[in-house]
Amino acid sequence: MVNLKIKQIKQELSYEILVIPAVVLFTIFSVLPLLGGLFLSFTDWDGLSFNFKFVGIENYINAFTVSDVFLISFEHTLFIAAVTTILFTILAIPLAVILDSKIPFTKFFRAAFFFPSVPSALVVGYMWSFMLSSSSYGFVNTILGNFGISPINWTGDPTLAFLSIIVVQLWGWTGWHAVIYIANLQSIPTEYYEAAKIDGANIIQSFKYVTLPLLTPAMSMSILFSITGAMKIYDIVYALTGGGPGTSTYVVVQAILKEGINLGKYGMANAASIVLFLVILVITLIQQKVMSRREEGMT
Amino acid sequence: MSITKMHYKDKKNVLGYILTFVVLLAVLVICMPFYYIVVNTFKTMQDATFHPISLPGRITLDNYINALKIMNFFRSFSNNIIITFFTVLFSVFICSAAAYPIARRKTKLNSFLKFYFVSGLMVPLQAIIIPLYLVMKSMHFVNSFHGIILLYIGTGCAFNVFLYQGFVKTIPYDIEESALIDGCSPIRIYWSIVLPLMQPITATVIVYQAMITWNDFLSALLFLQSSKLQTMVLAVNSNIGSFATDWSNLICMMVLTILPVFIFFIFMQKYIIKGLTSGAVKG
Repeated sequence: MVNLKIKQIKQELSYEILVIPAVVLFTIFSVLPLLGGLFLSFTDWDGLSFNFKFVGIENYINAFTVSDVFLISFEHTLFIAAVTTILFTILAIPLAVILDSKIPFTKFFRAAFFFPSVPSALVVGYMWSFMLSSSSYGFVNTILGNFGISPINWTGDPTLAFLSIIVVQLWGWTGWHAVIYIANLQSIPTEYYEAAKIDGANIIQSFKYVTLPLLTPAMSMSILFSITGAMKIYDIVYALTGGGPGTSTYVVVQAILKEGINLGKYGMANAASIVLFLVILVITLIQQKVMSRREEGMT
Repeated sequence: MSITKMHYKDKKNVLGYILTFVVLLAVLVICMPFYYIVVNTFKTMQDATFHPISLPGRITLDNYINALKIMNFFRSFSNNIIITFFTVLFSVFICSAAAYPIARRKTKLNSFLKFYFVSGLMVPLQAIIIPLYLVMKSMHFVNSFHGIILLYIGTGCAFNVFLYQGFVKTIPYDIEESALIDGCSPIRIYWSIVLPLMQPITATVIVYQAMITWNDFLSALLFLQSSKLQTMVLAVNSNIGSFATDWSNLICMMVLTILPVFIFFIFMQKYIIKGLTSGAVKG
């Protein structure tokens, strides 16, 4: 009996050898930093000595009261997240419907709309900084110049800088979101449209009462990726506006890197990192809850 | 099939033509930035600066010759290749190996491990970047290929293990069972039976891990500070930062950086889109 049990454990252990490398690397590079960051966010550790004491939630309070850098960067990031998510949804659904229809070259069109999401976001950001430049080589201003509009400093004004970031995000990711919707559209049976037509529904009605409700799985996925992606935004902003003019387009990751690594304010930067993690966690959990509830509702 | 398909049939070609035209216009807008940076790389500095939109008057390759030199193209390109190749290679073996027992053996340990990896899906790299910096520094992993490769594998683990363990469940157990009865060891079974059967999901893992690693800026910026270890994205960044070079060289560097990704996209498009639409991609 005991022998059998030992044999069984031995067998299970011979399987678990396979898990070890992944567990070690995952623990060192993901779990340890998360727990370490959480721990340090409650201490006054200065990054040098091992003398530190617990300060409770002081870092969390300081991060949002001592200077406004984290507060405004969270505001900016949430603003970008909200605006881009709404616009992705508004633009990607019609785009998906068109790209799923029987127009010619759909394969080429899909690839063309998708491709901007493929290259590095940093290079895309720099590419657009040339596009939007107010120097004589700036593409957008040259086009506007042909209509007699004098050059606009797209990244020099806070409102226009935000507009630029949002436009570049839309340019880069609308096609990506459309691909999610296309996959969903292809799963809707044709019979539904035929039934709607027999019932006398016109093109707008069948879109509203057949297509849209059945697109909710894709919509919730697209919205989740859009929000969490925007919360983590960094490369594009770094390349396009550098957070400027001043700090008017500063984003969370930028503030964490600057305060934490450049200025050595580890406590506050760790506190802000944990807040960022929690925001993303909450959004993800809400999305999963909504999804599972919807699945229950369907069955 | 969607709504436009039916109505397109109903109203003959008119709607179809209008839609095609609108989409064509949108595609032109999408392609504009690429046209702009590519067309200007073949112009002389003066031509590019004062006529940025028109086709080049006289084609020159001087900009590319300069750019290849300035960004140290062959070094930064091979750095990218080395880092991406080893990250993807080890990710495939390490993560598929871990996923196999987690998905197959129903023990308490394995259900804990599943939870352990899945919860990692919710930890964005950006939120742990400061402690990660401390980990990398204390292990002397800054400025080394093996350091950043291990970092990429470790931070990608959660997602790759998640993909693999989901796939293992779809593989029928019969073959493994008979191999087990024949006295095959679990490692042997994983290596010669399960791993080859994982091929479809391995394609997805390879494609996504390669894209994430190739394009990474944040970790590379922090952990590859030595110019010898620069990747292409870092080379573009450091040259733009100095801004002393003229812009025709800079856009050449961008074209050179985007080109390999473009070629990759052309060949791997099917897998990229399949991975995305199977609902299995973490942003």
